[in-house]
Amino acid sequence: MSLLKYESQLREPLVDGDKNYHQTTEDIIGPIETRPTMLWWIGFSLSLLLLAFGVYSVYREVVYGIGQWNLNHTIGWGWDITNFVWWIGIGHAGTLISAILLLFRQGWRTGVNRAAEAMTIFAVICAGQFPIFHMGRVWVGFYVMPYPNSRGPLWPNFNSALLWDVFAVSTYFTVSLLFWYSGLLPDLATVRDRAKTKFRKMFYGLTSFGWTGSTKHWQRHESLSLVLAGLATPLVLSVHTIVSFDFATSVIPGWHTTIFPPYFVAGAIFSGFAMVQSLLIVTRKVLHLEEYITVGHIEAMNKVIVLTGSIVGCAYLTELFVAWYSGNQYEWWAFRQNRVNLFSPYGWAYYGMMFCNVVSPQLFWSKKLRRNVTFTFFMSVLINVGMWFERFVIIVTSIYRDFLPSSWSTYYSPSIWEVGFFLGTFGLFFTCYFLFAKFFPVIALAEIKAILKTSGENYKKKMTPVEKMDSEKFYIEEVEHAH
Amino acid sequence: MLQPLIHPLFKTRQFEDSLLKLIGNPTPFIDYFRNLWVSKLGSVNGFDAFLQDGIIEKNISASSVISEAKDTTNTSNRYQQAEPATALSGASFIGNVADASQKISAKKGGETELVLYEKVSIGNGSHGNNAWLHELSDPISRATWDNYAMISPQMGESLFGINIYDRRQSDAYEVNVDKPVMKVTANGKTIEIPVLIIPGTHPNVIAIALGYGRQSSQKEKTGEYIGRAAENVGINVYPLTTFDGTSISYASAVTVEKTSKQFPIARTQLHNITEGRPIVRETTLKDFKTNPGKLNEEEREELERYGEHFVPDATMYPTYEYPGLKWGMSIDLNTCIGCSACTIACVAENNIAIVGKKDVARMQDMQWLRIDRYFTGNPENPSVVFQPMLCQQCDNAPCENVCPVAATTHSSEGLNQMIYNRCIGTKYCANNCPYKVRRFNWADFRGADAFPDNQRGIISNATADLDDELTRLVINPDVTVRSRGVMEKCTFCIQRIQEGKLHAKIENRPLKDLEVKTACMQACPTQAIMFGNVNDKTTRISELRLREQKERKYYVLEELHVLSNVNYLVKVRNTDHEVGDIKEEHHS
Repeated sequence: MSLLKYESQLREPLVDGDKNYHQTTEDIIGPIETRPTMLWWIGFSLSLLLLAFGVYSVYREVVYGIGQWNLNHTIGWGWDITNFVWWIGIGHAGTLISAILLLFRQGWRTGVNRAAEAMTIFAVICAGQFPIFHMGRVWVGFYVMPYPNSRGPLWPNFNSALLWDVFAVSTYFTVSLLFWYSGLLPDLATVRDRAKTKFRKMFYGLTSFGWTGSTKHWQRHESLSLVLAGLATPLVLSVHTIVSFDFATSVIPGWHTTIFPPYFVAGAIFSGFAMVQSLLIVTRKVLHLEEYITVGHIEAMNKVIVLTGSIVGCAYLTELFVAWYSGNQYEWWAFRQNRVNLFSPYGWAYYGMMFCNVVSPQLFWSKKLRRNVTFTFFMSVLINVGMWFERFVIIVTSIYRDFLPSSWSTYYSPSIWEVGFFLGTFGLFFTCYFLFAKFFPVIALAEIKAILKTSGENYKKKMTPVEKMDSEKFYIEEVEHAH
Repeated sequence: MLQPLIHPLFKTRQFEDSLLKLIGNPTPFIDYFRNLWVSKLGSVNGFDAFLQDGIIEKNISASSVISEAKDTTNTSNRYQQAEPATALSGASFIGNVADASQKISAKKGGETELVLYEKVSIGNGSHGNNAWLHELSDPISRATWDNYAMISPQMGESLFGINIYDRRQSDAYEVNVDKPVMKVTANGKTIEIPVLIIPGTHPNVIAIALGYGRQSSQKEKTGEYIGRAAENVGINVYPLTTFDGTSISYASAVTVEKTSKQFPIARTQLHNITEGRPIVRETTLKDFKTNPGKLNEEEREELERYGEHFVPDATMYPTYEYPGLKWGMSIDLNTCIGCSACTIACVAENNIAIVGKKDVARMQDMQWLRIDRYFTGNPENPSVVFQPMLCQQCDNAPCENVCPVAATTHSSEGLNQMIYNRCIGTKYCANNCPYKVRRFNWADFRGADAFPDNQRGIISNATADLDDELTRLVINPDVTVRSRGVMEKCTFCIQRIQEGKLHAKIENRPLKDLEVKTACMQACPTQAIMFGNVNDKTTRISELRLREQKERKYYVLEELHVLSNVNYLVKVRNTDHEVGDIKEEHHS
């Protein structure tokens, strides 16, 4: 009778297929060393086109004024800040996967963390464009920076939630970037070592910072990862908390809500994972990485989605209940008439949000659907549409009809340049992502190799004779040997 | 004496300079003029004294002075006596009233009657090229830059199927800028004109404003000959008047017909009623007399719960005591007639930009002071309340603490100030303003920013006349022109406050009450607006707040604890009818 089972009955392997170290390297580094495919060129060109349109849209706004947008004196924030919060939310999954799951020792993070972190960084870059260019005078935007200056010195207003945003987002970006890049170092060194052309040698030589793979390097690398994970973990929670303060600390009915911080964080993780799903389902298919980003990974992330989606749903209902329970007529109006009333001008946004974010993720309670890749892709897009609706509902339906009915706004729909700005950030995001997928290892190679020791076919094969041993023999051969 | 007062405008030459040039004298007029008078008066000192005094003192005999004075007195006496005589001579009217009224009523043949009226802003059309007046919204319809047919809710429903008492339909109707167009036929002439449904209009009456659709005989040159503000504004309805040989009739029977067309109307207020919110308050004279204290009973009870020190108690920040001046304003809803003179006065005083129809339609208008109009009472036959709404200069201002760069701050006199060159234009303050009185510079209306003047073709052409090289010179030099991308707002005419304080300082005395008047207060024909120092308990405003109108005083949205410095006085109606908010029930 076999004494030990090395294959878990509960957990599926984190890597499929019979992989050894060399094969893994070939699979992951391979695409970097070949010429880009036609598909890549098409995708990259489309992204660049979108980016160019975005740049032109922003150019018009900077040169001719915010009047290029359809905002007005009642709706001061519309698509701009909606998109900012949306992108920031998307940028939450990466750091959650790398930092929090690292601290919780979740092995499955290794397959997806690199791409998710990259996505985080690009999403935060996209998000940052909106608060920058929503300023009427972007050329004096540096006034928000607290530094001893020759204007007094005049300091920013530390009471403003918008200023907290500046700090929160820039800190988050810095830490995420460091985290991502330090994880990349061993893999970049692998690419460098395999490089054949002079340019590639130089490029990857420079970017890998002289990594040699010595034990000392690894030891420092591991320590750094832990330190950064420790730093990044509170940031995952704080960034969207602070973004939510933009609204929660205001006086506007529908904004002034104490539930916002946890609600925003859950929503951010929810949308972040949905975006990771959208990207990775395509990436694994195109780069043939199905054995590294397995259906098990997708299912694990779908579990996070159903959890966070349910939290978000609870938050929506709580918020609605409290609006009624508060007895505040302005608050209740914002919910009852501006949102819940399907026939009010923006009723569609509220029900779109409810359907995409609350109803649809509940389907993931079914294991069959959780493991269905096509369905997951469809759902991930739906969730991100829903999360966009959520931000739009919070921002626009609160302010378009607030305290004084005399100021209630016309129907706000974006101008072509507002839409262009949003599309432009898609262009920026995918341009970055295409470059990343082409020139950087999209899977954390070194970490995959580490889990190959304890997971996958190769490991199972090695362990089969061990499983067959009786305890005596096992003790003599394996344990003694190990000592 | 006539001497040059300003530098030559652009590349022009003064008339007198031209004369000098003609006679071949190369001396500039100012020197020529100066030399002439210096030689006449004998010295430079004499000339300077003349300039300073404005007169040349001569030795005149006392008797001639007295006789001259007598003459003046006589003239003015004659004039004063004559005036009341003509003014009161109405009794001399000799006409047959019965006959006249018969003639007027005889005209009413059709089912629907057309009333042609003059709007408070444009009048008979002589101001048709004035962008300020076009952008001033009508007190009732709140529409700008157009004339339109005002029809009753009943006609709106029968003709266009829009029931504005149904929330679903009124929501769709009010947020949509495009309004239905109808065909109006009168005296054999037909026009197509957009329609606004206005509660309180008689079911069988449509009303259209005269004075619109002004154009040059060469239509395409209207902008050039009459003014760019006059281009394509409204429809000329003078052809619909009738002339019977002796007088023009402005009312006639018409037939109206629905069309499937739509036309955008730019309005500054879309929602008609207060939705039960205690924003405008009304009572009847009877109730007021019975129990005047009832009006602010609720407020008193609420404040009692928090005690005397509710202001410092409600904040974690230190509070400021305002030891010196503290500005406040009191606005009387009883006397406000909605004429909007204050709005125009504010526009003129504070160099507020005109944005044109397209931008008003998307609510990017810039006026700092607006007249909010609410229909109250019986929805079938509503009353109207006008509420001038401007920055409330909150002591606990929601706009101030959200600005990331501290571009809007509170002054030691209780004013909420804007520091334009610190503003980066996040619009967060405007979002967080419960009164929505902050205005953003969506474009460069004044050619005032760091970028070259690049707005032609971007902003409305109607703004061009106010921004040309010459008209710009009327801009109030005491007030900064704002550049694109900054927020602006009412600051109680801080330039006037400053001027008043400086005067007082020069004369080494304290500032007197009513020495500083805001532009809106000064322009108000019914004295509905009172402004002054509320720290001084003897000022007019303190008198109103603390004694005269104590019971009628209330603050809009006081429950938000923004501590506004503008109070309103409850409207008291001498009526038996129902007053107050139109409630939700009436809608369904």
